[in-house]
Amino acid sequence: MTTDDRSDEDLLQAHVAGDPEAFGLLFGRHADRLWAVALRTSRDPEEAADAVQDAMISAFRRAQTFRGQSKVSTWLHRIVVNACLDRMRSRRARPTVSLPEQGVGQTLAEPRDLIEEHETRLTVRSALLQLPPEQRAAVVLVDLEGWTVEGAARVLDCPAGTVKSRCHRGRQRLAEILRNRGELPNVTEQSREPAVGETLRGGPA
Amino acid sequence: MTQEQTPLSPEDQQALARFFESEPRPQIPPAVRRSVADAIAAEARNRGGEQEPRVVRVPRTWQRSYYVTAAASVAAVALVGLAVPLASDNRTGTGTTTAGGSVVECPKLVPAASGHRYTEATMWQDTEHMRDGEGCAGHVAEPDDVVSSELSAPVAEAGPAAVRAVTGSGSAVAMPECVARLSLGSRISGVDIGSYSGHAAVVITAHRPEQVLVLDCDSNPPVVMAQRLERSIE
Repeated sequence: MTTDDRSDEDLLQAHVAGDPEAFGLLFGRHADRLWAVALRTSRDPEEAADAVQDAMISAFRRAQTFRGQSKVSTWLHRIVVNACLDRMRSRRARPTVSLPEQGVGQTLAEPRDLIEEHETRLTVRSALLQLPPEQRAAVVLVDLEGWTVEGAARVLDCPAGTVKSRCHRGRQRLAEILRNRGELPNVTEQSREPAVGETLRGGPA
Repeated sequence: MTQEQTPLSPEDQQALARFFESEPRPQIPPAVRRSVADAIAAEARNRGGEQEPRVVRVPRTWQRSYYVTAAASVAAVALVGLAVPLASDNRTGTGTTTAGGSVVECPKLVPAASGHRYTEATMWQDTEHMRDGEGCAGHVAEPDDVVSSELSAPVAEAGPAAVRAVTGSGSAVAMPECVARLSLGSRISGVDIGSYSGHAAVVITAHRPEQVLVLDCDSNPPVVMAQRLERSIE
């Protein structure tokens, strides 16, 4: 990946002006974060991949509509989250068949294959999947991705109070789910993080 | 939506914090990164594509001419390297069809010769041709019934079986190297005979994004003449 000193805003402007490389650079810069949000908000890696690609194509085409009222990264996240939510809302049964792996090509699965990690992630994801999409998106952004409530509100295009409310309900629901499963971590263990709240993690504004 | 917002206990808050911490932030898989980058690059190419030759796709219909159906079949055979002895079959010859009201020349399409690096054969089933015992397995894929699964790497990199697709009924098809440039997970929605800049071509359309590959099947292996977005196809 080529490094480029231009700011996100400069890259987007260059793209609008016709620079054929600029948008690709922009995507490369934010790919991991966009993927993380999409994966945690969507049902599965395939859905997340579709959502990210749909979102990037949409952003590519709509770049000239960006008004600079938020950061470019916020704008990109908003498009990705909306793509995820749209896909979840409109998802219809559409059976597809995947061929078994034969050691060629690249799969959508994440590279880590440690069973323990996998199980942990399944626990987190399966619990998250039980939340309504909007609550899930808020929890993902604030609690997992470290966005501030205000930043998440800009991504989700809703008031900060709504994000707080969604996060709170989502956390309550998660705690209930995990407690019912007996999977809530032992609270007597050493805590490495402050209590869940709007400042759980420092993150992008 | 008047759910009472009871505060979480400090213990629950700490437990949830560790719960969230337990999942590392996933990194975008290389294949997905490449797929999206490919899609962006295709968009960039398409953005200035007004001067490019038109691509004309023949409507997919069972009622089209015998020659076109046969040509599509043979093209599919050529595409996938199915070694069907067609040397004496006059359906490898020139045919014509209509595309958007105009006549499109379909020059000679030949089955794949030896030396292709792709080895799997088409198994699209229940085509009229197969029922007629013509020994020709080509078939125009119905929309959405083919989902590519491993289109991320050129055959040269990943081996002859790298590029495969599967239908809901379990049929499979191997595609040549050029098709391997379609993005990972693209849904192949159609394989048609058509024309590009007046030259007969096989037009493969796929979704996510709406990609299309235009292949020159006079060359062996097929050569990509154009790759752009489906919406630019007539």
